[in-house]
Amino acid sequence: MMLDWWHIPLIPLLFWLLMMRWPSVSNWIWLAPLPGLFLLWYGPANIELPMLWPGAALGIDSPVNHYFLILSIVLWSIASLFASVTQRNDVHRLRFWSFWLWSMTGNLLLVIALDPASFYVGFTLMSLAAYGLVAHQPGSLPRQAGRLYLQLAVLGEMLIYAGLILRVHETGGLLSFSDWQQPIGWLTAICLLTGFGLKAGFWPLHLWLPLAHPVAPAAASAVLSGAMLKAGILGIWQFIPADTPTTVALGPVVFFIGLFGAFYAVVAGLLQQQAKTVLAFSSVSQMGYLLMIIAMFWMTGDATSSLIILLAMYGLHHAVAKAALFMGAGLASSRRLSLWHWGLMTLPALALAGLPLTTGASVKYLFKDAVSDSMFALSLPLLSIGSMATALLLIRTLLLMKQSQQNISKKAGAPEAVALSSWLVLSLAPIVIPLMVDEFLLQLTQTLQLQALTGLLWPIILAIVISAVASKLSLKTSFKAKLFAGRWLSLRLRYFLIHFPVPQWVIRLKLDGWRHVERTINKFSSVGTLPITIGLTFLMMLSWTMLF
Amino acid sequence: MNAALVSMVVPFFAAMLVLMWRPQQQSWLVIVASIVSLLAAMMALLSVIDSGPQSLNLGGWESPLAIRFQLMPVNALLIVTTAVIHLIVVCFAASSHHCQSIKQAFWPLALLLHGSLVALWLSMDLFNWYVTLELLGLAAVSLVTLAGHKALRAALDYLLLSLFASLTYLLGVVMLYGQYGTLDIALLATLTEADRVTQTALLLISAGLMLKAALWPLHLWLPAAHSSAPTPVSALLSALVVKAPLFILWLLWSRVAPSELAVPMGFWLALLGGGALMIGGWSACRTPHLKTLVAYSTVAQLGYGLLALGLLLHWQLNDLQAALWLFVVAHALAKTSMFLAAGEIQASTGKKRLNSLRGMTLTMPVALFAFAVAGGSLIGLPPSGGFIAKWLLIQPMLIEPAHWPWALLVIIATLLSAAYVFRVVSQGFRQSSVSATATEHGKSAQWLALLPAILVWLMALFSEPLLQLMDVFSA
Amino acid sequence: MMTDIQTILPVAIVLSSLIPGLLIFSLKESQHRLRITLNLAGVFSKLLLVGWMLHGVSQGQQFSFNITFLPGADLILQGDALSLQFVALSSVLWLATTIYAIGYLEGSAFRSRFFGYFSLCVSATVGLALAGNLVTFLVFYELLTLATFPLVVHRGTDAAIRAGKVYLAYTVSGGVLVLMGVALLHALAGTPDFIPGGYLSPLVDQHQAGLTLAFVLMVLGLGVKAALLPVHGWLPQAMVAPAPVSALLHAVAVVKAGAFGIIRLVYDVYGIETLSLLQLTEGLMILAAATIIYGSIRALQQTEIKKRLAYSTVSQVSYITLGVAMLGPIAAIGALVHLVHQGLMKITLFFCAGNFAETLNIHHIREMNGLGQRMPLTMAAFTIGALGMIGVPPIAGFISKWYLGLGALETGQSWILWVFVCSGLLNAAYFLPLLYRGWFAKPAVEWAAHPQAKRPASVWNETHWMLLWPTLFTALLAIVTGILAGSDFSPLAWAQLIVAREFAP
Repeated sequence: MMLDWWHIPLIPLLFWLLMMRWPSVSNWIWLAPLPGLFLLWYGPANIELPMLWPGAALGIDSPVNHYFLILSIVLWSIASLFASVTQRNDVHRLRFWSFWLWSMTGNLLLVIALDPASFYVGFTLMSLAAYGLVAHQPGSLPRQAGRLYLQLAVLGEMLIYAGLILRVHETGGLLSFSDWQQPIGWLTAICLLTGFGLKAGFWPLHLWLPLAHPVAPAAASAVLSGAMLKAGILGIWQFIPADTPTTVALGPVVFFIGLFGAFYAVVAGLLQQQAKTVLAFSSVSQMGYLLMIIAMFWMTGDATSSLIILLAMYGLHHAVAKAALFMGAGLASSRRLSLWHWGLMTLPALALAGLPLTTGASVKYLFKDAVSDSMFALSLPLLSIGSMATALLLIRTLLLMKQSQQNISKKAGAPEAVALSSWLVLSLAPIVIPLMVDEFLLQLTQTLQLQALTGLLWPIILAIVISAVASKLSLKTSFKAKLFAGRWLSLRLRYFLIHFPVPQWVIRLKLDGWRHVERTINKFSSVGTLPITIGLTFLMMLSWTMLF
Repeated sequence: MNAALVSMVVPFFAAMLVLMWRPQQQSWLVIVASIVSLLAAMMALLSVIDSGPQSLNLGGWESPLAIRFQLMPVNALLIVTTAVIHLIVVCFAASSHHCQSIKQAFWPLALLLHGSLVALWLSMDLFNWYVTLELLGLAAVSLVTLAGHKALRAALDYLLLSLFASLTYLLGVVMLYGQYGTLDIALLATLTEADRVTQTALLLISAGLMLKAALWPLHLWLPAAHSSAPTPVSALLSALVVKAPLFILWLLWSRVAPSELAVPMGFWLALLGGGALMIGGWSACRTPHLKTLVAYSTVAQLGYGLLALGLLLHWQLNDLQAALWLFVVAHALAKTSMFLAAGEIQASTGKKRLNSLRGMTLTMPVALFAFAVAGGSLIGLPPSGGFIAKWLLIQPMLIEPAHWPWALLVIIATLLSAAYVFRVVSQGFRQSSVSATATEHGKSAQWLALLPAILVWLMALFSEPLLQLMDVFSA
Repeated sequence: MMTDIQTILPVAIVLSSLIPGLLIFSLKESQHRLRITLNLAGVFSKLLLVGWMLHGVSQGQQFSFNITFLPGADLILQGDALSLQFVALSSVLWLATTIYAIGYLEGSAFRSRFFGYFSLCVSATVGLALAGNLVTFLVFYELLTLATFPLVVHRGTDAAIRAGKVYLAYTVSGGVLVLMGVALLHALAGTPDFIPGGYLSPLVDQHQAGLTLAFVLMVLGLGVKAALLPVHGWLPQAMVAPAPVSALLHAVAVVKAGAFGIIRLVYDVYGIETLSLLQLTEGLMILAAATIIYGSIRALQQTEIKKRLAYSTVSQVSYITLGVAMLGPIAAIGALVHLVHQGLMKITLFFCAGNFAETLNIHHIREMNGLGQRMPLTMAAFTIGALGMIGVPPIAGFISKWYLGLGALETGQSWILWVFVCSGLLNAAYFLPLLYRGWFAKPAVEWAAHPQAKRPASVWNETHWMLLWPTLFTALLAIVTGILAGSDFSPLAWAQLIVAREFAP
């Protein structure tokens, strides 16, 4: 056996070492995640690694991590290609690629982890290394965004640590996801949900997301949004068992959090002025949908449920589409784009809104199916409105991207071939994937009926109409960055920690006042040695005679 | 027994020889005499180990008339200690560059001191002790005066107080003789009763002895005398001379005094010991002069002896004898080392103050090391002789919750001693502004100063035979 | 033949550093070649002997040497699994620190004195680890105090002397308390050898007050070295010492001696049963938890690199105490493994701080800006150490936190888990800004003006190789012990072996 699961996280590290020696290796980093695809095709058995931390096991055991591995590999590979062009002239490119590769290692490791410790190892590595991507660019905005990102990431890490330990204890020391079916405690569930939620970025744990995405390089935003947010979702999926008293009780709450977040983020996003910020809010919104899927699964816990495949598909769908948009936004803000570029740009945007014949249609259809089967069937109409809202948000993004074209210099040329082609692959993915993956195709064929088609199309058409009207009326939004309470909080936290009042115990002996007393005694006793001693002798004799 | 007598007589004889013959190289003669005395002392110790306590009536008369010498494990050990320290000190005096100016009178006086000490250890009756104490005191005072006019005042105080102490001692002895008609310890032990006269006599004797031993609070003369004396003399005085009255005090109260008197007296002695530990330690921590610090340390350390003696009497616990005498031996060795090192340092810098020690780890590493190692034993750091003694002392304190307050006293005393020892040592680590270089000459004196410090740490390794020796005795 | 070796080996391990140390004292300042040879000979012979013993102990052999000392308390040196954990750590880190110190002190004065005491210090540490009963432990515990004092005051400046005095005031007082505790236990029960499960259980009914007092005395005394809360004050002060000394004090010798003493006291003297009867560990647990939080918060407020690291030590060493106080097997694994892990990580951090100070004269956190460009390797090692301290997997610190956290739940003390969470957050709060400065901030003006600020031709020359390699070595160990925690040769595996023997029914 030449290639095995444990090689997957090692290969990026190998690339890193090579790059430290020969910096030009950075042009070939896109190759680093690809061996994983070979493994998926080849399908070796899952492995246990007793040499490593407790319980270490790697492999693939469900459609969810299968799909998530695909999406991670595809995203990291294409984004690497994209970044190899955009970061070519970066002063700190070695630093960028180092964090990039570390992040990639973590992400790939966590996806193929079959045990909580390995997952946590990968998750932490990814999370912390991504700080280097967020705060990569110089200036105060990236620094602030990075600080908030890191604060929340560390908070998340610690909550996951607590949840992880609590969970291992609850399961009696079992260290494999497949054995984790025991009921979960409330505290454990909330720790894990919050910990991973801080990464997944659904409302209300999205604080860092709208700050971090705009300041990160485009390729980094693409993997952040496409792959790393999914890692948070995957964490919730793997760590929290379905169909236990706690999760059944939590299900509705979480479902409505997701639903509310999906709409809230659209409203918040529409008020933004920057394409990448809007895209970030769109991610927040989409994470709401993924959360809803998980919540529904918690209520049933059916291992054969279509929800499992839905989660996998939704993840893949959102990852490629959103990554394409982020990379597109990056191109739009630095290169002159022609009409066919814009045409291609709308494809992933509308796919997210559920355009027929795209992955969006497949997942929306399946999603509606699932909701109507569940106890939340009443919220079905809201989903159509949700699609409309998504479409509205993405149209707004496209308009903002178009606007940003005015700001770039006249000299900027068309995008480079490599960057363009990598973006092209992702942009076309929403229609290519259904042709390649049976599950998508299956759903897509179901949507090819009039009723389904209209159900998918009317929200998009309505959104286009509304946008057109709005731009005619030139509705100006004047809400500024007030929404970013996170930045303020993170500064306050820093201040608070530095000035935290701690008692200090310092004992100072103040002997100076006694100095002259001491001197007097010394002088007295040295001058009067004889009389004092003789006197004392008599005194002692006397007192002893009395005492006895 | 004969070996012990040899150990006693040789110094006297050598002293006479030095006085009469006045050879050019007096030091060699003295050193040879000390070696002979040491060898004899060791043989005496071996014979005690082999065949137990022995006694000898001088002139063949039976008690109570005779002058009786007795050799027991404790005084055999003390004789050996005396001889060892004396040998080291005279070697130091001969080799130290800074002791060349010492007057020729040092040699016979030191021998006289040695001889009378051995005689005192061997004696077992109150009058003999009086005589030897007088001899010892005179020799000591004369030795102090060798330092010249600056020591005269201290020497005079010492002399007068010593005479006063002798008077009270003699008064007490007379009262006892009047009451019981004998001065032999063994005989008195069988006769004494707890009446008023005996009590007064014992108190008088004790007061005199305490004055001579500089036991707190009658210690005022000691720091001045010991710190102003020439270095080898300071070592002899602090290490040996002050221990002699303690020996008598111990025999007096544990043998002669009836337990009705000894038990309450023990309590007071222990309290005084505690006072010595506190006040002596505190003064040592505060004094700005190096040799005065060492002298105050003697005051404090004698407190341990007094504490051990007091508790021994108070609790009627013979186990504490081992603690008491190990304290004495450990302190004697450590203090010798400390005084020699301090004297050597002070002589080479020419300054008395503590802050003249800057940079000593470079210029006089061995002397400072000797000081530190000896200090370790005074603090009671394991594995040193001081530690063993302290260990034996605190065992009975700890076993009964009611005795725990005494242990607190020991804790504070230990901390104080650590404070004054490290006060000196840390000065030595201070960088000196003058770029000092190690001086080659005077190395042998420094090593001689280190020798007793090493011996006191080696005591810990031989603690088992030492303790067996003590057990033999108390059994 | 075999029995001879089993007797001699423990002494040989102690002597392998003691003899070179004593010889070094006698060397002249200029004989540096001979001095280095002696040092390295000591280091490698010790490693060899320890390796031999490790093998023997894992095979179940007994190593014991004794000579008579006090009545009823011999001086015993013996090698059991627990002592070997500490001995192995000391020997390995001694290797790193010796090389580092040779590089660090190159050309400075007093080297014979320094290396002499340095070797004595390691001998005392190893002796303390191998001690077979309380009295032997006490002997080496006090010797350690004496041997480290000259190292702390090595520079001889006023600040160093002041720090040395503070150090002594604390450690000697602590030593006296330990002495009293040991003597008290000796008075009550004599001094038998350490045995798993302790030897005091027959006395619980009769001498409750005595046992309680002895425990309090000894924990307070050992707590001085282990930097437990009310008596931790010496540690930040002792930072004036040269970097290798700080590294040694913090990672191996002094603080670990205290922590190791507490481990011995809890497992092999009192025993878990006795302690739970006496209900003494509650207080210890609360004290350790408070120390963890307090140390972290104080670390946040420091502006000097070494001071911050010092308070971090205060916090991290109490993990060990806390783990021990929980009295559960899993927590014990966590505590024992943290003994090693904290050592590896903290020594790396101190080496790095020393490298910064030596190469670019950087002492303050604000001067660290942009260091990653000038000294990428040292900064990388620093990053590893810092992240490990936070508990980031797969660095060693995570393994400790994993077992400590599980141990807390297993013993029903779930609040301790939140102490770890809090501490992790605080650790991140005081370490991550340093990493930010190093990797992301613009180079500071202060050191950019330094003559050595220019980047050397090769990364490997960023500082003296004798400073760089030990740093990288320990950083690598910190990662490897974390990643390969499950292998048979990891500290974790050894900790599990110890616990299996200690907690055997």
